[in-house]
Amino acid sequence: MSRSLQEGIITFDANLKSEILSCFGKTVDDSGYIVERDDPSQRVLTPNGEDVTLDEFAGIRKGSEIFIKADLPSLIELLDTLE
Amino acid sequence: MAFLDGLREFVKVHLNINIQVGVKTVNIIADPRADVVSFDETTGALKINWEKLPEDKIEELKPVISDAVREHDALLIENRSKELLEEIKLTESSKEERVFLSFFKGKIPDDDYTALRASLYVKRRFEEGAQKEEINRLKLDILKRYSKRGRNICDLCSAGYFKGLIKIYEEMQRYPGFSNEAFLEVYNPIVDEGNLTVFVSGGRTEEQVRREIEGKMSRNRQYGIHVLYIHGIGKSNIEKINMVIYDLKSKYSTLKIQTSEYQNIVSMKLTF
Repeated sequence: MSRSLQEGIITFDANLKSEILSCFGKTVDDSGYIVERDDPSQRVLTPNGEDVTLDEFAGIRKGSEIFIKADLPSLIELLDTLE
Repeated sequence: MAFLDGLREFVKVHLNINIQVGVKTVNIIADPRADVVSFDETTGALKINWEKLPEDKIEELKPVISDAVREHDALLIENRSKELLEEIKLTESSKEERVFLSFFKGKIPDDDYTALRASLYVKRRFEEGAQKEEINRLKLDILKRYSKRGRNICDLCSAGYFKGLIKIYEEMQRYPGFSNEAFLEVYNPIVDEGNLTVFVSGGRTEEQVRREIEGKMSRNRQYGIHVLYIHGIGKSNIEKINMVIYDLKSKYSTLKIQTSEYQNIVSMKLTF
């Protein structure tokens, strides 16, 4: 693995999810999905084309804005991108 | 890393704290008892306490964070998910798991391979005595992404059946004209059947084989399922299966058996 899990990483507390999303111009709609603040009808998507709820949100990585879900398969896929 | 410079600059300009060198990790926290900024010189861990930042400083921090991701390739990740990432990495770093996973890489479909990796992690947590709620949550992650096939892979992995699949592959490989497609013809029904399967490999006694087959037939029947699949590898195991089936035929008059054989591998469908 060329990139360790220490370098190039910013971590954040789970209770700051909404605040972190606000850094990227995102907010959460009434159904709990992450959406564009300027266009709340547009939900953000993972590379698999899935909507992301605030509960499911694990983070963001580069590549436009790649949203990461907190489930096990998504984190395994993320691990591969760090290799 | 350039984004660390940005954060160091933010801390210096807006919070009047000068950190010269050595920032290795950045953690954005929300802790009413912690200082607005703390830096551990030993570990290089910089903590910025969002909750203690004045509103105008938060507005200054936001673009620094988004630039770190958009412009400087930083990964922004919630703490618990990062811990899980590290645990998955640890699971996959043992020699046994590396050998096991590298065997299946490229031989089974990519989605199955990821489901298998996830299943290995679930298996490890189960063996470590994780709470049932955690195991169920992890299994649900696999089910949500990969549906029934993912759940089957998880069940088969927990039961050690994937080690049997390695034996199947190696056995099939001994014969001329072998291809991965031929292996997938055996593999796919097994992962589709999941819990409805009895897999006979290794040095099991005839009595053990009989008990498992009868036990699963009885369980299936209880839930209105009148089918069971049996896969066996090796001459002695095939003989054991045939002996058990012979006895079952006299015990269950309605039992129907469909058999297919590929070299030293037998697959049966029992309908009862």
